[in-house]
Amino acid sequence: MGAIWDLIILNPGLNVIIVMANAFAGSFGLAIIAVTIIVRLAMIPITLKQLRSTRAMHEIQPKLKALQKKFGNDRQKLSEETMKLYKEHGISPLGCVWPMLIQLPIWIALFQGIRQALAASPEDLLELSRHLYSWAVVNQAVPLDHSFLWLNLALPDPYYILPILVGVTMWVQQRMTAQPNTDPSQKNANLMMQIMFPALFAFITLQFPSGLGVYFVVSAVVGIIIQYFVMGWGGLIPSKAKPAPTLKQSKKAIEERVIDGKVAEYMSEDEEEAAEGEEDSSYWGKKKEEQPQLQKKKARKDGRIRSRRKNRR
Amino acid sequence: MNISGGLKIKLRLKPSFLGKIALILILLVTPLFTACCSGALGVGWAGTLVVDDTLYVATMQGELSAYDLTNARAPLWTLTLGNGAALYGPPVVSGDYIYIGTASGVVYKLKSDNTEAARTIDLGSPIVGGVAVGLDMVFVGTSEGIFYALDADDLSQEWRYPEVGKLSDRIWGTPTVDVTGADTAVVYFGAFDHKLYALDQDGEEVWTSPFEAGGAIASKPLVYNGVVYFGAFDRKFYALDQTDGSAAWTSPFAGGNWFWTEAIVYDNTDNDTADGTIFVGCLDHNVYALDPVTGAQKGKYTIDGPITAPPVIAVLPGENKSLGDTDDSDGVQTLDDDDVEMLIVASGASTGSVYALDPANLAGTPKWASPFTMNEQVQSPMSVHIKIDGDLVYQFLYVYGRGSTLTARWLTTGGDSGWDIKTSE
Repeated sequence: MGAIWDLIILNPGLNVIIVMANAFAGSFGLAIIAVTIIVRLAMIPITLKQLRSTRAMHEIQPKLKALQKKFGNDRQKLSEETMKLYKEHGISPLGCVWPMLIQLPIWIALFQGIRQALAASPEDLLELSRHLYSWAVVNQAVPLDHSFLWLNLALPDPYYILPILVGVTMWVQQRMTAQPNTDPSQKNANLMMQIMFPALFAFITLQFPSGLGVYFVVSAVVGIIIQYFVMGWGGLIPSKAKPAPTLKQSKKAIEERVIDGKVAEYMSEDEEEAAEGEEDSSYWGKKKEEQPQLQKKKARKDGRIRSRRKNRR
Repeated sequence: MNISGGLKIKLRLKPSFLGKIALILILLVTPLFTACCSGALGVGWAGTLVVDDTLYVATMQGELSAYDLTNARAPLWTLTLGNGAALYGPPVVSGDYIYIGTASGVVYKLKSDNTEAARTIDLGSPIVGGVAVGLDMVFVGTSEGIFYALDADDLSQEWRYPEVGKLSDRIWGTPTVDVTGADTAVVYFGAFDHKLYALDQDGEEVWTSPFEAGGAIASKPLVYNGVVYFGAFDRKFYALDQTDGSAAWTSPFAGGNWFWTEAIVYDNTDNDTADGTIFVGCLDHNVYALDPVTGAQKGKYTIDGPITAPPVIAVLPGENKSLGDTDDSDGVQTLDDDDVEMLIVASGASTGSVYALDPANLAGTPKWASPFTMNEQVQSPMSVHIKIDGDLVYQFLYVYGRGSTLTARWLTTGGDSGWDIKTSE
């Protein structure tokens, strides 16, 4: 397994990094930046898919909540309806996860490649020889020049600038990904991710060769740029808090979903009750072809409300 | 999700669930990062040296130990160097003193019986190559790219090269001193700037300019019959005229990977002509036998791993005597009537296989029925102890592995002599 990993993923990446360093007059720092940007750009289709999937997931949150309220006691039905909702919005349940899983080995390979190419210790240098192609350009370039800006890429940053940069850029990226959420448990999880993730990588940068820190920073910056174009600033610049919806607004929201027809069943109990008795004629006026179906649904809904009231009495 | 057998697993994916997945991934990745990055500072591989029936071992624990080889390998002393800094270069014995450099940048001078306080000098930069001693000077290069000549007596600086500033890259190779007269010597060393330098006893360059190879140089140069031999990371093995640094061969010998370790020469003739053979191990798993004059390949042998420890030549004297140790009569063996020459090569792979080959014909039948395995990488110099003391004959090979195992093997067979210790215990 290790040999296959080396052959297919690590070795090509490592040799490309070294060739790139040669192309930049031996500057390994510039090579790290260039390779990181190239890899991130090459993975844009996957990244976009992941971002879109994440955004779509966030967008259907109200509908999911309504479903949970409605079918909270019937797990199987809830599962079926959730899947139906995903299907309607073209969301794969693993849509957010698999692009991440695909990118993970590439990130690890890049990380390993940089670490190997740095060859900070004699043992690392010996290990590096196992992974190099017989290209003259590669063997002549090794060992690589470790100096870049104020850094020795093989050593941690003595001035702690790089760990701070890593922490800040990763925090920005995390913050952009996070969407406003009113669910306290979700909010806490988001907060934990936003703090833990950057803190962890800042800590790693503090301990390990700064070449890896350069990779983390560049990767995060590229990620921020891509994310900005796809999702805007996301949770980084919070929008003003929306006031609680009025009865009229709730009704309007329900109307919009009911008019859509397909999502009519996802109303929560509160919404159903808020809508009850205040329906106007325009309710039925827009999509005439769906009227028989909606009439049946309305009848079913009215029946359910009546039976609930009866039970309460 | 329905798994055959009717087990139903309900899949409910929510953002909070994804958050948990991400957290779990982080928790998994953290130790992975730590595991793959640990050891970045290195632990060393300094190895063994036998001088006057004493075995000196520079250990993976940053200690220097001495054993009495004629007294059941009794431990004589152990000294921790500094705070146990990694040791890469093997110790060197000159007169009554031992010299060794550490990865913390300190050169030590110790009395070989450890009866005096060690004298030290801190050069301020990691020492990865070994030291060399000649003309009452200790020569050593540092990772900073400065080459020092120190007074062998008090370790004060005699001179440094370059006089001002430093080389553009590290010096990780061990220097070689060729003492050419009572007061004259030439010291050769390679650096990662691709250059091989030749300096005289005063630190002046001997050649018009240093020889520039196609890759970094980590190997210790070998001087034999007016020629300097060394290998480089460009996968080439070079021979230079000692006087002016010009190429001695039409073209350098090409290997299949880097030449990391020093070459050795075996010349069993008494004349002054270069009719010996150069043996050099390569990271391509081959040991090559080369003609010293032309560079032509005379033979090669492929082992199961990269060769990072220098090969060793052992000549077992041709006397029909019992072979044993003072404390181990079980190991009595019979010698051949004729001298037995063997080239010992170790593998840097995890098997740690050690081979005994016929130096006259590498492709011929190996001297041992099969290589013995250390089951840990062998990357440090091995040592032989051959001594005839009356009816007693000592013929042992000492090997130190990266797993801290120090072992003594019968040179005749490669068999276990019954002495294995762990320096980490």
